[in-house]
Amino acid sequence: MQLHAEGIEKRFFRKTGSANNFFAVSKTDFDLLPGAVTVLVGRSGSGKTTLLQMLSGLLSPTSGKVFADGTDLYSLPDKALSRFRSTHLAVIPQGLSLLQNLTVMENLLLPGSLYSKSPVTEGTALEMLEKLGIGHLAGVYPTELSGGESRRVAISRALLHRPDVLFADEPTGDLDDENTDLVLDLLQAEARRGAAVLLVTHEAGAERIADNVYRMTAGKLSCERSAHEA
Amino acid sequence: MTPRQLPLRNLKRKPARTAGLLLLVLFLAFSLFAGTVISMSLQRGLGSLEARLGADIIVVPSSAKSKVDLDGIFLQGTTGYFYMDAGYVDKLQAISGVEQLSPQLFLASLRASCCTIPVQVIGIDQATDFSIQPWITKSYSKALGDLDVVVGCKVNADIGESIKIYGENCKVVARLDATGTGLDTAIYCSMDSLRHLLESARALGHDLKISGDPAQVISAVYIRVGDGYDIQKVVDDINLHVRKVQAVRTKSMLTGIADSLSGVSRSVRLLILVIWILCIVILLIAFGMLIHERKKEFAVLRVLGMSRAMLARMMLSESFLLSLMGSILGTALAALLVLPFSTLIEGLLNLPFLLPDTPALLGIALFTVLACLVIGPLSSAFAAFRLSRVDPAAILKEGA
Repeated sequence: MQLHAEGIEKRFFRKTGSANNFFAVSKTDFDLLPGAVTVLVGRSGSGKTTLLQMLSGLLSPTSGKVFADGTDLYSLPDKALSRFRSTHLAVIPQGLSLLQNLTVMENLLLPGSLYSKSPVTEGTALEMLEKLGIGHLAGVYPTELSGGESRRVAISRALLHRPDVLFADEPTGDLDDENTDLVLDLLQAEARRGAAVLLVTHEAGAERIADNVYRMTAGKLSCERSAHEA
Repeated sequence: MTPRQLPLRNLKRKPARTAGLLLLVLFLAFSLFAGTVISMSLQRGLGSLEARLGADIIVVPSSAKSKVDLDGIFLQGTTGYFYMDAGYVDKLQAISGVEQLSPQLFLASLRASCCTIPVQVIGIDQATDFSIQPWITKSYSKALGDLDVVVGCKVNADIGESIKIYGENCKVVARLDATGTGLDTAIYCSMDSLRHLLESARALGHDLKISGDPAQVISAVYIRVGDGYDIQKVVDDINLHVRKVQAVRTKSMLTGIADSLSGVSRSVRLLILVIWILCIVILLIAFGMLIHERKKEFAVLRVLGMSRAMLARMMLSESFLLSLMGSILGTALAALLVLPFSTLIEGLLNLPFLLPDTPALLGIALFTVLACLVIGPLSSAFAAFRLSRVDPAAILKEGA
């Protein structure tokens, strides 16, 4: 699946301060291609997460459009957009994003049961957890997990349902070097499977798996490296 | 784990929050069921009392009013006796407007074998009685033989047993249905049987203060006024034309009870209203507070692909489950407290109290559960709406 953003921009209003009307993302065209890892870097507050949210159907742009294989995402009604996101996209959000009332295993299985008639099995979910070295945590609740373990569960949840487009927002923030490498390898494998992967990160080592590297500076996007150019 | 299983899991995993909300719904159900049953029981008690009296006018010796509490004897089953000559029946029959009349004869047992306290024994003239006989006929269709008695439902004696009154063995041939009044503690027999007991009491040395022939006395005359006649005018005529008797309109006897009952019913209804308003306000606040507490959880669910409608449905399902459990528990608790202790409640209120029959009780229980099932989810509707519209981007931005 190809994701294409056309002239998207996002303007926010602050209630206080002098710059109370600012563009988190200035007018931008952007493509996420299947089979490629696109790495988005930039300083904190530069607009990376806002761009990711707009591309993933979670935040409607102030202007511009986002197309997924030709379908304008934000023209879809909520029900259809939600189904589309659940079926084709996966997001690894920043920070802790597990449902506290569900076990690790249930956290993994829930997204697949929302719309699919043939949800992922527990065996497959357990394999995914084991890939990330947390198979033994399948039955525990998120309150009993460390930050790094929670992060790996969230990554497992996103990877498990084999999305067409994967958005990862600082996925290695809480991880040690070993696990960081493991996760980056898994993201690369997803791209090799055919998924379009957008990785927002400060992790210097992430560029080793990148097919494209973009930099965000004060809401403006610039291409630093493109597989196409190479 | 499927979306349908989420509401129950959410309730289970937050026991304190669930218990708090459950308790509020339980209060709602308890107050509605208990209040409605009490209010209806009071209404039924009054209706039953009116029906049991069955007369428009009761005539007693004029001296009786100063000696005993007439309301107590006729309405609450307290013991007392007074006598007048049976010849008054003919005099009263001659009064214009008197359509039907029947004498009764009273005797208070000192200590019957059935009861720890004295009970009122009432002799009825089965040939003319229109007040007690219809109730007796429901449980015993034959004529009452010598020393056969019919007991009120609260008299501790079973059919076929004998109870000893003034040394005489009286055979229990029937028990009356509950009336919810003090009359449930009375014992009924034929006029001849009661005269027999009068003799026995006198033989045992009890001074019943009977002037004249004991075989020719009665205690009261129940009168039914013909259609088209003014009851008050008949009362006035009796008091004017028949000496040494006092005619009392039964409606005026019931007025005090009706007033008290109306006051208690009003208070009960007001209490239900206050409890409901309070509980609904607290439910609204509690669900409102959940908006903040659960914003992140709902945002994650949105990120995972749940639609707004699915989120709202989940929240409403949680409140529906809470309401279902709370209303069943509250109704059951109220039933456990109100139904077995109706006698105690009757005693505390000092008013006729007759529980609704089983189908009516089931109807009230069903109504209570349904009302809670509407109110609970309605109280959470605003929270459900707000949470379903939570900005999923917030979870990504806040990060925590």
